Amino acid sequence: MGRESKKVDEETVADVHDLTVSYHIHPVLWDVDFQVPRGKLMAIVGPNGAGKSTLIKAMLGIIPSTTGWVKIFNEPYQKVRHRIGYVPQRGSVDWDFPTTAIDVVTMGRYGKIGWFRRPGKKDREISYTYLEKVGMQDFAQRQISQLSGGQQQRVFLARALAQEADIYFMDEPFAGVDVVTEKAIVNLLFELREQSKTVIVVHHDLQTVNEYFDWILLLNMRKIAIGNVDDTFNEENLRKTYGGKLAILSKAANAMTKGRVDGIID
Amino acid sequence: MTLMAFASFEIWIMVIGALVCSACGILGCFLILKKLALMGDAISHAVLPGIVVAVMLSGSLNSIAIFVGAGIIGVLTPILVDSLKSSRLIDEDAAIGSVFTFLFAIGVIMVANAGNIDLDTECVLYGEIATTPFDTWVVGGTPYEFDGHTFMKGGTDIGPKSAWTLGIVLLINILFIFFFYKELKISTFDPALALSMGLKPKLIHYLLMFFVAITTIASFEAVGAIIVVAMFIAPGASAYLLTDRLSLMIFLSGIVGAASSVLGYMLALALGGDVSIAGCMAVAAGGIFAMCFFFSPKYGVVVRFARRYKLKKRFHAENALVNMYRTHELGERCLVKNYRHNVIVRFIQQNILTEKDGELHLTEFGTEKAQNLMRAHRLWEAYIHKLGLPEDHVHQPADEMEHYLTNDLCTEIAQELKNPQSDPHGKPIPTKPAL
Amino acid sequence: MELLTSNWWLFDEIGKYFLPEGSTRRWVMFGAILLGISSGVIGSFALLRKQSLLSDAMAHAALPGICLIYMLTGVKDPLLFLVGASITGLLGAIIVSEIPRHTRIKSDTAIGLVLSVFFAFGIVLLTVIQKNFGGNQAGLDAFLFGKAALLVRYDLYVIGTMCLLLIGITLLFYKEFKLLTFDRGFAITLGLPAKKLELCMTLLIVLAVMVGLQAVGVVLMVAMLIFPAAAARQWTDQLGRMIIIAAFVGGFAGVVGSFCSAIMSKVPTGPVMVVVCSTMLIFSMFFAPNRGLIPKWLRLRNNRQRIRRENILKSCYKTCEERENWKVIFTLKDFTTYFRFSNYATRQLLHYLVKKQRLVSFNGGWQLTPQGLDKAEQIIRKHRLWEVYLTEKMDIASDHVHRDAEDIEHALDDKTVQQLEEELQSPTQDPHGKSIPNVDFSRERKTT
Repeated sequence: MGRESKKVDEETVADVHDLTVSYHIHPVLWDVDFQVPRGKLMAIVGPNGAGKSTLIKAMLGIIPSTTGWVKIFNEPYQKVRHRIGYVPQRGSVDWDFPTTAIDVVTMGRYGKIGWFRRPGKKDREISYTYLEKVGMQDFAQRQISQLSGGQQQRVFLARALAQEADIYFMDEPFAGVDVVTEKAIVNLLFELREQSKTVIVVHHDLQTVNEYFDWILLLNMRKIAIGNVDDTFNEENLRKTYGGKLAILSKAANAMTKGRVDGIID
Repeated sequence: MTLMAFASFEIWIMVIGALVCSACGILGCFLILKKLALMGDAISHAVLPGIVVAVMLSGSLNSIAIFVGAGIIGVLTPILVDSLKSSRLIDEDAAIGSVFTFLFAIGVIMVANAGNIDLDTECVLYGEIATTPFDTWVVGGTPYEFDGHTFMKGGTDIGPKSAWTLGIVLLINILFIFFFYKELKISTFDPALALSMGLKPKLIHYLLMFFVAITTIASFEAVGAIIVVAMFIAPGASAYLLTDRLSLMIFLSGIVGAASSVLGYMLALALGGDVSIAGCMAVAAGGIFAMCFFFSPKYGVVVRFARRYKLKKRFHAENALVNMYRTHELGERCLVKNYRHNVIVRFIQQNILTEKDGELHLTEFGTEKAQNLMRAHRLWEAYIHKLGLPEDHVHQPADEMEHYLTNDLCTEIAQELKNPQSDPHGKPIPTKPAL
Repeated sequence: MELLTSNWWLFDEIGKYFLPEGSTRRWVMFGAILLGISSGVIGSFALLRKQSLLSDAMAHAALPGICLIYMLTGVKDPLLFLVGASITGLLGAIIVSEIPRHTRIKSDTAIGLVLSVFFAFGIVLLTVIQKNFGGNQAGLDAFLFGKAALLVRYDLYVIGTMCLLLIGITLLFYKEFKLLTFDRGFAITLGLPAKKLELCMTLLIVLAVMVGLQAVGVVLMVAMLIFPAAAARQWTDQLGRMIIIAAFVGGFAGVVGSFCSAIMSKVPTGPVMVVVCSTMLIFSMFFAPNRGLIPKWLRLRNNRQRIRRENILKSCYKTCEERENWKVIFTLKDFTTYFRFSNYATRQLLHYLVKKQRLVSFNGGWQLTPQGLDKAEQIIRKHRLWEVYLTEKMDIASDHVHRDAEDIEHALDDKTVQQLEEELQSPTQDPHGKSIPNVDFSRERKTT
């Protein structure tokens, strides 16, 4: 078959092959297959429930995938963890957790510190630099629940920067943030691109895609299209992404779930 | 005469146990569905200080005062938990945990200090169901004093007091569920909808808590404050695994409750009779739940596993069938040696295949079956190809999906694709077989 | 009762700890302190992971394990009990996590089920032991509600070791536990073995339950996990400090609880400790400086008073503006009828304003001072700027903006006001046609 012979570009930093992901055995992503070139700012765009976050989580091994594989820098992600940065959805953590902003940023260093050791002075200094970079240095000792949504997002971003990675995965970093934060995040993204780092962002605001990103993946339970924004982000693809009738896909998913869980096929 | 009395005493224990389990069980259904199981746990612990105070004041475990006190605490506990939660100082989980442990601890201290009342720590923990049949209710007798206690002379013995109390509480619970069935159902399923329909889900919620507390009190003498939690949760949870209908679930939880009581008593007898009967009943209820967990016809883990195994075997057979069809399609000979013996035997039994000189032929019935599968496979290939998957990626998903696609779904896909004649690889898609 | 006859009985009781014959009391106290520390430490994680009630189920599930081990071996050894309790406790935890995975039963039901059924099983075993093993059962009975007085030196060595082990493991994996508790997904991307670490934390809970077994008992053990941690949470916003405070709270409860039960022989130790701990939680919830309800209420009250004072100044300003006379004298009645405050409350507010030189008493009435006028102007400016902002930038009809501006005027800081003014290009009139006071205007007014 033609699978093995698929040409992998040298500049490909993330290679996703036929990834199928199920949430509680219910398939949410079907055979997603794409590559991301180096130095791109890529938006993952699609309607609610399209599996955008699921895709990122599956790529990072946070949730298991049913079939397919992911390679980052031509290696399985386990081997290149130190080169990966991650910004989870802001709503995924309990912000009432007793910790400070600087502490959260230092968590980005944990992968580099290793087992049994405490973050040292150097780690704290590095963390502070990144907190400064997102303009949050004045809030370093603030309890995280006392920060606004935008500020919390910036702390998360600083944490990812503290990972000093080569590829970043961000899950809806623009959700519910103020204009100032959005600007700050975008500037950071551009800066990362200048350092020829790759950033994959789950994005929901179609209006800003052209302005912020140069690469785009349109997703709705399956890959609709991927490519540079100018060619790919067009009306036809958007219609396929947002207007496509997927009743059959979800019915099939239901049938499959029922068969796998209960062993019943009607 | 002695034998008769012993037998009726045994029966009364089982009856009282059954009344406890069913009265708790039918309310437990709503606790489970409303995700309030732990609130039920909390209430049953928290009523203890109420009971102790009432017993101190009235001197007996069978008084109206206890029910009043318990009712108040029953409503107070969720209110306390809710207000702790809304202060946002601690989470719901910890709020429940702190409210009931605090009240329970106070109750235990009071029990330990309250010298000459009819309560001790054992009773709090696991009740005294074995003694309940002897505290009977006599009507029509004349009271007389002896040794400082009041006894009845003459009259008719109409059975243990707890049986009467529990019977009445069970009846009240049934009536509560009967009259508020639709309100309970909607406010369990969708409180927001209930609110918009003017059904006062909050009121229903607190009414439910009130009845939980009342039932706890009625059961207290028989099973204590902790084991009653099992009576609330286990029957409902078992019933939840047996049926999808709420009314049936409530009915079944009552049955499971009664069965737990009988089985539990048997267990206690098997262990020598001199053990905690209430504990045995709870263990039996847990055992019934375990049985349902593994063997419930629809949701049982083992049953589902067996079904999945059977399905997997069917998939293997279907794969073989598709393979044979493909071989025929290519005009090649389908040889016996390429297939597993038992598959062939079964296919021949099912009139799918005929065998002649080491070569296999599909019967008309077999062809039809194979065509159905082939159709599903190729339609799915065509469908996901249209969704944007390249043609060298469609085979594997279709190989799996072909087993799951029903005829209706195939028709739907065919319509969506405007009845395609061939799959992405150019192979023909068999038409819908005549029914 | 004899004790109470002496005025110094409390000191006598405390004194007993220092006498040679008070060694039992000292052991008991040590045991209770160890318990408080270990449950405070691991309880903090259980609380933050919202697993308090799961711990409750595990504590209850320890009972059958202890009984089974005793029935098998016939000896009362805390180490053996640890093995038994760990097995059933862990089994309980596994069942709680497996039931919702395989069926539609939710985890709260699973917790309640495991808690009550395991406990009932334990009770059955306990009664079996009572029947078959005779008097020895008295010892096991203490595991229900605790009986610290029964602690002997050997028990103490064992629970001391467990406590050290627990603290040691927590220190070693502190960083990992913290990250996992805060952000599981992120922890996984860093390559932390989430499942193994979670199992480790579950085992630590079992360990803490074992430490507290003889002092508190299985029924109320969960309280020792919740209360110190929840109380500590109120005093600090940092996990490290929270754990240390929780350990102190737990240890203190241990001391007080063991003392109380030493002088009240009838009462089991467990419930006493729970009451001590819960009192500390209640105290913390009311009085902790940042999160406490009373400081919070005071802050709210101060803020409300400030808003009221600002409203008084504002109303004065508006009246002056209407009458084009900046020296209007207001009577008490003006304020009470306008604001519907009580006389007393109004007098208090006015008194404060006079003290701050915003108003000045004048002929039995009050008049705005220049400083008061400045302050009032600032508020009015915020109000009217916000109204302009709402109508111009948010497209809200001008007759809908007043109510909103009433609230925001008290909350806007100077920096935001400046931004607002820049964005709106220094408007001079609000949507209702009233002028927006600015620096020039105020100078002009002062000179007239």
